[in-house]
Amino acid sequence: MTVTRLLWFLGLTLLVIGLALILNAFIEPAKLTGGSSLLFNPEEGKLSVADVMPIFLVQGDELTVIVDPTYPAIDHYITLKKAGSSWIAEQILEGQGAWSVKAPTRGVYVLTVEGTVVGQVPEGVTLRSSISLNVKSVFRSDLLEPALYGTIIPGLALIVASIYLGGKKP
Amino acid sequence: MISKVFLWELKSGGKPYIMLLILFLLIYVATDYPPRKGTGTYYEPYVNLLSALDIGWSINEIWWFLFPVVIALAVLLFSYDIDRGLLRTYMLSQASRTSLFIGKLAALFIAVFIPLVVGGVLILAFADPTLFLSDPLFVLNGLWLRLVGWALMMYVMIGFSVFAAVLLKKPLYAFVTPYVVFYALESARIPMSIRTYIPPDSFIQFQFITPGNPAYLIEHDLLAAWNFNWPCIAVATALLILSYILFIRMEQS
Repeated sequence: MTVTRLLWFLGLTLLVIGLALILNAFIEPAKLTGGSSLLFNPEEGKLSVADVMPIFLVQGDELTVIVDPTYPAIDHYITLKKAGSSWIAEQILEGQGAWSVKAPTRGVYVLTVEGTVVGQVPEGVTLRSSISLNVKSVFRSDLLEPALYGTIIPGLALIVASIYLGGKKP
Repeated sequence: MISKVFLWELKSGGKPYIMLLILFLLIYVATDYPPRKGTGTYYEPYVNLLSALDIGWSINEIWWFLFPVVIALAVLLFSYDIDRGLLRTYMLSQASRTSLFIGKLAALFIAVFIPLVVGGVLILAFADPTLFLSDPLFVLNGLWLRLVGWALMMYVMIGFSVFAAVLLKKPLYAFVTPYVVFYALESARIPMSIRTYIPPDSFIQFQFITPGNPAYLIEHDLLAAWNFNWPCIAVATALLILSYILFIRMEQS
């Protein structure tokens, strides 16, 4: 009787954990958009802020970086690095442009944007570029599978075993 | 006798299932990853993004669902009207009022705290290594801080709800009163909940985290920076003592 009750409760606990994780995965991730402005610092010859922004992405998420400078002769050096990993993606955009990259795994990615001015800049030109981000999210299936195979199916198996052993719900 | 009362109270009234409910809500709420919270703007990376990256590390994130559960449990355990009609009267009549009070209080605390411990371990193990690729065992270093915070938060909840359950004989009044009191106090800008932010250890690896930044706080600095709401903990203690005095003087029928 005690074993049956233990199995029943253990199975129910696993089922509850799995359900919480699965329900979590079913909520559609919000579209993430944002922007940042970089100001030019003439002394350094670069855009003054190497903008560092961490972004949380899941597997398959597509991040688009759109760069829109006020003056065309600015090169942007964009790096996307996964925190705690050696994965890195980089791109150089000359002037206005956009760059898309897909996240290989779930995690926190750090985006760095650095700009360099090419050639002589005329007087009275404000050097500024605006960087905007867009994340096309996908269904978070990466949580769904471990929840299903790790908790829900074993939990159901334990519950069935307890009912089979005890004859009825304890 | 205390242990007998404790075990009886912990098993009765479907408390194992209430523990499962708390576990479900905790995992569901605290694994709420940032991208779902809507559009984020990145103008202030040092302020906004830290909260955007957060996985519900704020202690009072679980307040909204934990408080009603704690009040309901307190009313079930301590309400005079519910308690007197039950079959356990005979068994409990052999216990002294003091051991009855302590056993019930322990059952209330443990019934809420065990799912918090289990959920805390699971959340940290699920969230941190997958997000930050850090060592799972290292991740659990910060667990005790979170548990202490949760325990203090529960202490405040329990103080208020037990006092209401002992003082007011009608269960409905006992359930509603703590809510009203907290709502009134929060509206009057007297903060009653424990608000503490515990950043994950792995935040250190980001280059924008420098001394002076809120996320820089790691374990050793954290205790100094914790703004525990000492007055509200003192009020909860006073209410617990008062409810103990009321409880042992309550007439036995």
